[in-house]
Amino acid sequence: MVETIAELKSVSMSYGKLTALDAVSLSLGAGEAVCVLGPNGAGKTTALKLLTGLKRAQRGKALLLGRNPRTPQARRVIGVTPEDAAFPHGLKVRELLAFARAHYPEPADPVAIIEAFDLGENLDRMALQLSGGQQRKLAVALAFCGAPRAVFLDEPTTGVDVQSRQRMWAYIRKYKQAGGAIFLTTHYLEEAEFIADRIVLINQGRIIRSGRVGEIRDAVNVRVIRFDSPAAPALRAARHTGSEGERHSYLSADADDSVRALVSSGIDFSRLEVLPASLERAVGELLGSDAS
Amino acid sequence: MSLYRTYILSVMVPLLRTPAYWVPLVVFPSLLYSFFGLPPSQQGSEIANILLASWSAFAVIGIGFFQFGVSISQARESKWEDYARTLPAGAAPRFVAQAVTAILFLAMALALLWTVAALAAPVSLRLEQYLRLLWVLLLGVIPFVTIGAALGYSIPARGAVPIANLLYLPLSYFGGLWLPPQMLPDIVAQISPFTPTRQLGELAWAAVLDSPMPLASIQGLAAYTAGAAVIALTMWRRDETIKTG
Repeated sequence: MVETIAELKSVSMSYGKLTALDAVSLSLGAGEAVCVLGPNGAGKTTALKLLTGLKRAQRGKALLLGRNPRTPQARRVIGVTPEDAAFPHGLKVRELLAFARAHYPEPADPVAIIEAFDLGENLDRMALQLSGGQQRKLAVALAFCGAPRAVFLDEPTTGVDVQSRQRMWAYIRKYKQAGGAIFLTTHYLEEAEFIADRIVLINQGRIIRSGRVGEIRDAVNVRVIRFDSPAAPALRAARHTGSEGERHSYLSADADDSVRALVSSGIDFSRLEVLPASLERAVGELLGSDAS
Repeated sequence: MSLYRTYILSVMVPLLRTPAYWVPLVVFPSLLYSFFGLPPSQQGSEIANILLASWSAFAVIGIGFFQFGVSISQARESKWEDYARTLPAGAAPRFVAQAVTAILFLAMALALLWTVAALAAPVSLRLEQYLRLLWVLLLGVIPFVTIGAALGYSIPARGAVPIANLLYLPLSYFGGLWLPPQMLPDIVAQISPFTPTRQLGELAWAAVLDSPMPLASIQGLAAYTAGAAVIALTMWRRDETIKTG
């Protein structure tokens, strides 16, 4: 059985009339990557703060390897990304890495971290003077530099250039394959798709859906239909979402019906494709239908 | 231990890199001392000794209010602090780092002040009087750091510097550190004995006058420390409840 590293056990949190979390249970095992998605204020941040020791559960329990995350000992097994632009005044990249490392009994090899997060050239610069993308790299490097058993990554590659992003993703994957656990929050669904095994959708303090990336995508029947034709016809059960030259894209709630309509309309078309909707679309649909 | 060392450096280094922070803190006591604390040349060394003790106490108060008050208040609102709290460390290294840094800045301020005094005033203190004064000042750090912490947990970061100044300057004047108590205007002289700055002044003066430490002043400072500690803890708890609730 996979060892559980981080866990919320039917945790409820409320602030006045606002319910931030409503009996939420969630577990993160070794070698597993979970991405928590949901609109702002859905409860993602509260879940993150509970597991990283910044908040105390009002009801239920938050646990790290069975221990209370509020104790420093329990937090030895986790690494966390600082929020955007949170670096302190007057400290260099090198010094921040050393600061984080000093907290862990067996930290990661600093050379490997510096390389994976492309920090070599900036080691002696003040963290606050780095560009937004470089600051993100440092933030993620800080989460990994203690070689923890689980990392909590908040928007890890937002604003990072494509090349560095690929390198960061590769590092994150390798970490997972070596048994590391990942708790990811992001608005960037390509990232979720690449890193996460499991998606947890939170809305209004509740988990409304949880499953493998493919399951979430299939949970909505929306399909993308694409084909070439001289003009973009109106299609039953589908909405025209865009064209590139003679290639048209549609979003259909019933792809079978739409294709049938296309064929029987007698329009000349070629290169027909029916694709699953993007994760982004699926998540949008799921959250939208729940909110309504 | 290396974690403590790391914390001390992480507090000290950024401050040392910001001369706008430490220069005023270190230079201010010496600067004001050279305006108001150098006795007219015909005065004897006793007055010079007393004035040096007063301005040394003034330095202690500044460190407590700024290094603790302003730092705590700014840290409370910093996002980095939120991150640092997810790291596996308790409150102890953070506190020790602040305290060590406070003592470093105090040492710098006193070194400069005592150098200025040696060069420009007829100060004549024996080594044991210096040591006695140093003891008083080091112990005086405790109440003023506690008062600083009470301030730090009570006021928002934006108001921290102006409020620290607003208390620092009048309190030291009321405490008889700028002018000896006998020379204070009547109304100020009546309030003076109740200020914590006066209590520290009394102890510093006793140190350089070879007189016994006035018990009432020690008790007064202890009372201020206890009161400030209660405020600091209450406000800290309020903060924690909001943050971790």
